[in-house]
Amino acid sequence: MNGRALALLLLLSLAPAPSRSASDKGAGVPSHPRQLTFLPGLYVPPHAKEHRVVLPRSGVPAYLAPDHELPLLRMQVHVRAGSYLQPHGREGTAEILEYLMAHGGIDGKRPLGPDALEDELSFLAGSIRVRVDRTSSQISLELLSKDLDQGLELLRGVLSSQTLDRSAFQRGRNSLAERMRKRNDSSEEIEARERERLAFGSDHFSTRLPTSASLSRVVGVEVRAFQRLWFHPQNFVVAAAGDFDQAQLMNQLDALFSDWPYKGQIGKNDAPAPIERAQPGIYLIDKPDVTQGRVSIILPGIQRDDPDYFAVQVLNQIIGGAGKASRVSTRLRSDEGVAYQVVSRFPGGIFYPDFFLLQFQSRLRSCSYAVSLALQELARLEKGGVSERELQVAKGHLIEGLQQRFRSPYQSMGVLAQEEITGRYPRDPDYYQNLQKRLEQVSKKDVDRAARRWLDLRQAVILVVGDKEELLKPDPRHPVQFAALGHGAVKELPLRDPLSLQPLPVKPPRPVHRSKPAAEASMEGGDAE
Amino acid sequence: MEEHKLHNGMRAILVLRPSEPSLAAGWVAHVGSVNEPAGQTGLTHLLEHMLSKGTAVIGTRDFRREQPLLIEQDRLQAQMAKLDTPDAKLEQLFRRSVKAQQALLVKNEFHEVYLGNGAVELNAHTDHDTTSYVVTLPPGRLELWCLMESERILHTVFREFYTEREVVLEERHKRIESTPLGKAQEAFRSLLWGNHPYGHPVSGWPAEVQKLQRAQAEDYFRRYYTPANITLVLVGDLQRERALALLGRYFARIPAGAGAPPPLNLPPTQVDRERRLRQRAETPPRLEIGFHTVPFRHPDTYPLQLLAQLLDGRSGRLFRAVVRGGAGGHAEARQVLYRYAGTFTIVAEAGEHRPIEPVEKAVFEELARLAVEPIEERELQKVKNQAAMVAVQRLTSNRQILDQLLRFEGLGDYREINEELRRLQTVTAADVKRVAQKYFASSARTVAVLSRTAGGEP
Repeated sequence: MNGRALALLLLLSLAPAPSRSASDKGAGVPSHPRQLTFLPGLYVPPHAKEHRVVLPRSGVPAYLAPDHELPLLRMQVHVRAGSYLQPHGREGTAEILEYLMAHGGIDGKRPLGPDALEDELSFLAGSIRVRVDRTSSQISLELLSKDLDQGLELLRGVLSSQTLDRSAFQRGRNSLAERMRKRNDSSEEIEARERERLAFGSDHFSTRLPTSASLSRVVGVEVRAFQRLWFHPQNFVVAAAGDFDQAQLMNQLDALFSDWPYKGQIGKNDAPAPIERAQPGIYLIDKPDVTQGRVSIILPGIQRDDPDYFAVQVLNQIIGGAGKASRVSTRLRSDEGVAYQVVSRFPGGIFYPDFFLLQFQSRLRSCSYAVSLALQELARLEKGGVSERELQVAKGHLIEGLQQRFRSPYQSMGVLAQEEITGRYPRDPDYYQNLQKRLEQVSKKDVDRAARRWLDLRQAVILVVGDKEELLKPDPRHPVQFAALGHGAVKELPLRDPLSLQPLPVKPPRPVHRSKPAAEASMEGGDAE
Repeated sequence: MEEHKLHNGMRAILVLRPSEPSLAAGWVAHVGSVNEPAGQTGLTHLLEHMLSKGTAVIGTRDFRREQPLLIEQDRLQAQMAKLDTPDAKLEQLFRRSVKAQQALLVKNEFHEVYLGNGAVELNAHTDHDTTSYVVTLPPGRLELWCLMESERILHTVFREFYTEREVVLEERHKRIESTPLGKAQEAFRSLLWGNHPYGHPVSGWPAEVQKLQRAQAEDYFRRYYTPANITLVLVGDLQRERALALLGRYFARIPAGAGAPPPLNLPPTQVDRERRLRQRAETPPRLEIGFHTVPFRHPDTYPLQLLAQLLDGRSGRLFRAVVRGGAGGHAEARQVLYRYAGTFTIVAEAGEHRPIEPVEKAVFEELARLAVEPIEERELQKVKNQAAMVAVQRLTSNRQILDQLLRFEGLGDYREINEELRRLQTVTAADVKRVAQKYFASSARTVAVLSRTAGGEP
């Protein structure tokens, strides 16, 4: 064997082995998945009219789906009221209400103190959870169906009780204060908080968070008064699925919601729109002791009734909504190895426009490079549009995945109740029946137009959270400066005191390495507000 | 629930559940970070990432032209790994080779095929004992899953290996190094396990991950991704005969190879004196306590599991002793099962700027009380009811059933999904007292105190 032949043999023995053997083709096995064809998946969304009932005495709408596969009952009471209604200056009311309702004990025919309520629920292995969101609230009940009567009695107690256990109130307040004290522990939490502030402004209800001052003004009787004002049957929509007899449950729910001990106001779905966005630019928050920078690229968003809404959803899939196969993820992760997770969201706001978000994390030194790549990809989309292949994959994913929104009766009833609580059901009762068609109609032209309209990078607000000193020293392999990205000088935002949320003093710049003066020189102090 | 075995030794578990219009599909390879050779921590996890990179036909336009570039990249990386300082010329050659390869790739085609077919929850997961690959598809896409998954076992190509090595390091930064507790908990875990193979992180030690080579991953893959070491699980809207025919057509063509690797013979985990650590972390004063217990399906697992439930949650004893007692703001307990071992862990926090000592005292008093006082029947029944509820809840969707089956099968036996509850219901108050006495000796515990100011080990 000559030297060349030996070298070739060695090469072959080292070569990656894609096949385990030559005999593994298998009869009837296609060589590529594109050779498999499938009938389009069936999309059968639930019809609201098949599940919707109005409880005769209380007038509460309910979406019911008996399902006897498991001995389980799951129910949500949606409430047309959210934290946007809490009194200005008394932020924390919503969180304390959640605590008091779930853990504060109940009054009524069979009063139970906080411990007794906890004990009874835990013995039943059931749960009642209370969540006050921004524009609506949910109280959920889950228990074995044999315990339905007892569970509904407890649910009525949780929804309507006005008992005020001082220890429970204090525990709720302490628990919230402990959570507030941890606000700066995680760079992820800092990023989420400041991102909202940049996108919506500090005067919007969604960014008015509890502070030590506002919490000190929250008093128990006012929390219960807030509950009386909004948490009553006229603002309820019920979703339930599980092991029950429909007629019997209707009777039980009607009894539960009748003779309510108080009357309040009717929720109007009038959450105010944001009025103040931060100026476009790059904002940096110094968070020492982390090894990655967290990046949020924010653009003005859309409402769900906008004519571009469906095209924007397809566009979002292509940007970062489809995970690893999305454009920005492919560039940052697969091509360059500078990010693990890249996601984008382009939600349709219900009551006001939400915002577009492209989010990723990258090691401190490669962060500016990763931001530059992400901006390049967004610019390419804005100017060059999408490819036919991208369009087909994105639409396929959205359309074929539609049924996944209705995998279980409980999930389906929840979606329908949400449609009613947010006010779309009366206007567009067949929204989900028409959804597939609306997505199918989205064309390349629509998506390209949406990209031009919605990906205007001149309006980009870019937030970076991480160790400032390291972030501003780019990796020599990718010497990209934030200040050179075409979005102006980097503006440093102060970290906020976790309890008062007042800006903490910005630390003075640390000594800069001689070879990299540009980034530090471009820093501007000050607050974005 | 039914089990089938293909002639190459691969097993398949089918759950026909037509009530939900979806197919939850997955498979588990019985290999986790516990199996990693010395110096190659993180290899299992990196391998999991590589299995999404396509095959000789998926993800490439021309594999014949791509293949020499892969070999060239391996050679350059092997040279670079031997150097103490970066070599600009080698790096340039490597980047040039990668660039040439990228022109031949169909990027992320493996994912794209799934997404275009309506896949959701497409994911993979590595832990100490197992690696699993999961997806939820519209019903009727079973053949696509069979093709994609059998191809990635049979014809996988570890392309973009060295870029993905960087990606897993980014993942580690995200999950561990840039989180408030990640590094401190890693230190606690190391102290708890010592040199035991369960002691190193699933993501690996960064210095070792940086040196992993593709040849190592391929050797590891050949050793552990054999049919006899893999279990397929399908849950959903399926027709049995059609499903079996497809599984046979696609997965039975994988050669049996060397069979399943033998079980590991691991060192004992017992601790003979208390181990203690003080560590700085972004947290109010926090206590992490660990005890070594027993592996999956050991008879003591069941009383330990109920004991954890007894301590955990708002109605649990720890909440009442620590939070209601005024010493702290949070407390939880859990029994963690592994294939070859087990741990019982307790986490409790004092409030900000408050001492941790009263919290620690309250926790140990509760453990001591369990060892001397039998629990009352109603309290035992409460935690049994909760176990029954959990057993029902995990049957509420195809995906939850799939995840549970993969978990139990990975630990040793999928049938535990049906048997666990029955075994839990037979636990007595005397059993609970006995395991508290047996496993919670003060000399057997590992304790970490984390706080914003604590500086290293005492």
